[in-house]
Amino acid sequence: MDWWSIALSPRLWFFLLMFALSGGVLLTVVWFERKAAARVQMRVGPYHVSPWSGGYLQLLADAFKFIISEPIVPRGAHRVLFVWGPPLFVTLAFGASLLLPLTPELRLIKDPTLLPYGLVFSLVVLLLVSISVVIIGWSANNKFAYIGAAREALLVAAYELPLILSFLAMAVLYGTLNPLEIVNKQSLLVGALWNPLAFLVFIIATAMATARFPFEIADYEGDVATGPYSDYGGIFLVLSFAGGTYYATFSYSFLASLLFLGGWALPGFSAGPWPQDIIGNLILAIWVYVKVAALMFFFAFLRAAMPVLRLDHTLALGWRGLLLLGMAGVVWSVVLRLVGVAP
Amino acid sequence: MMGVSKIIKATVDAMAVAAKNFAKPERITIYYPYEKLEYVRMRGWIGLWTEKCTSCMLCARICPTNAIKMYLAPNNKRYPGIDYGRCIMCHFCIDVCPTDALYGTGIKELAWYDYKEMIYTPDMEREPPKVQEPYKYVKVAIKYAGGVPKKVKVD
Repeated sequence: MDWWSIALSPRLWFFLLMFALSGGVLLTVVWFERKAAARVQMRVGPYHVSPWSGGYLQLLADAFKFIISEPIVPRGAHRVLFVWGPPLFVTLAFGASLLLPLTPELRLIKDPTLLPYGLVFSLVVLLLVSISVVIIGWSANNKFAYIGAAREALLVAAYELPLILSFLAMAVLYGTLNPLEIVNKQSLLVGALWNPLAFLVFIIATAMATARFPFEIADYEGDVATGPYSDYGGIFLVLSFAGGTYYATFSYSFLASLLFLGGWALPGFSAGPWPQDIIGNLILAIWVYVKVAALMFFFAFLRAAMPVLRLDHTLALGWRGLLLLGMAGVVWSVVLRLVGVAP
Repeated sequence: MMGVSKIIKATVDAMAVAAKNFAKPERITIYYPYEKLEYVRMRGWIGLWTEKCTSCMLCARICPTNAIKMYLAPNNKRYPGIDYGRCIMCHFCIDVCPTDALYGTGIKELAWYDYKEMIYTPDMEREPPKVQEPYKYVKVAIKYAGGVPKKVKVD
């Protein structure tokens, strides 16, 4: 094992690309969220720090302030869970995306026969994020945090099944769980056009799962003072509320970009094997990131457009609307398969 | 079914309004330290010429917030001093002054570190406070064009 092969290892490049590019995308999305909401609401948003860039550096200043501020553990909190909740949150939220391939060559799971398990496992890990939210809310020993955790636990029931149903619909449609084959089958028409119902359900359920705006119920400031994260400050807040939820959004968007938006399928372009064609693989990786960023910008823009739904309305939407829509999506996939037009 | 179509229409409408405002925001935000709104007339800090003052105390009587206190000077006359914590810049004292000893200025950006600094004695009333301008600013005004407010630059 010489240094050259280590430096060109696809796993290392995958890791670096995921960390660097996702960090850049996340910062830009948070900046966009603040600026877009301000613009729509006739405000200005971050401005004074670096006016030449529209206040982009304000985010770095905020992050720096959060990181250097003192982490405080309240007296009545369960110390172990309180401290380990946020790292668990962000690990689950970001770790899910590490199980998916970025391009056919750049991936963490080397064995192609294990890739289907990676796809399923990433969804499972993402659904576990809600458990870490409940852990965070319970450990703080604060009534707002407790209410927020209870709301999150109720919401899980509303979005989890539709999310799995839309995933199932796409699995039935493609007839495989291997992400490489799934992307190959979307070279002509992307999955969102094959099964728009499943795509709609996936988008709405993602918005619920990551507390995007119409469903920002567990941590809605007007009701429960940032809910489960009420007692967090400093680095804990960065890992859970201020950064972790965005990583969860990133992972859901990454999964959606592979399942519904065609992943790295770039018409008229294909990359060679890894160490020979670095540029081609990087282009494919950036193409995936463009799709992920588009989805995340959409989720961020929802903050500007939407009010907050009430908890019971959201549960009704989840059980009566999304569940039925998800089932309809599965039926539509089955019909496409039986007729024989599925990809 | 009617309810569902209503909800979908409301959602789409909300997104459309947001997209319209995102593309062309109707905001008239004034970027304060860099831009300043041009008030044509502004009642601001109140100054005093003690030479003209006849100690008639009309200013203290007319003051609606009792902001003016008459301080005894070494020449046994009483001169007004204004407590800017109380003053509402109504300029009644200037209007009522029979000898124009009190005069108005346009200085409106006043700030103090302590409430004790807000109580001005007649000596302090003689010289207007220095206005610090760390930024070079642009004067702007809000003009209505067809019922829509617009921010315009003023020379």
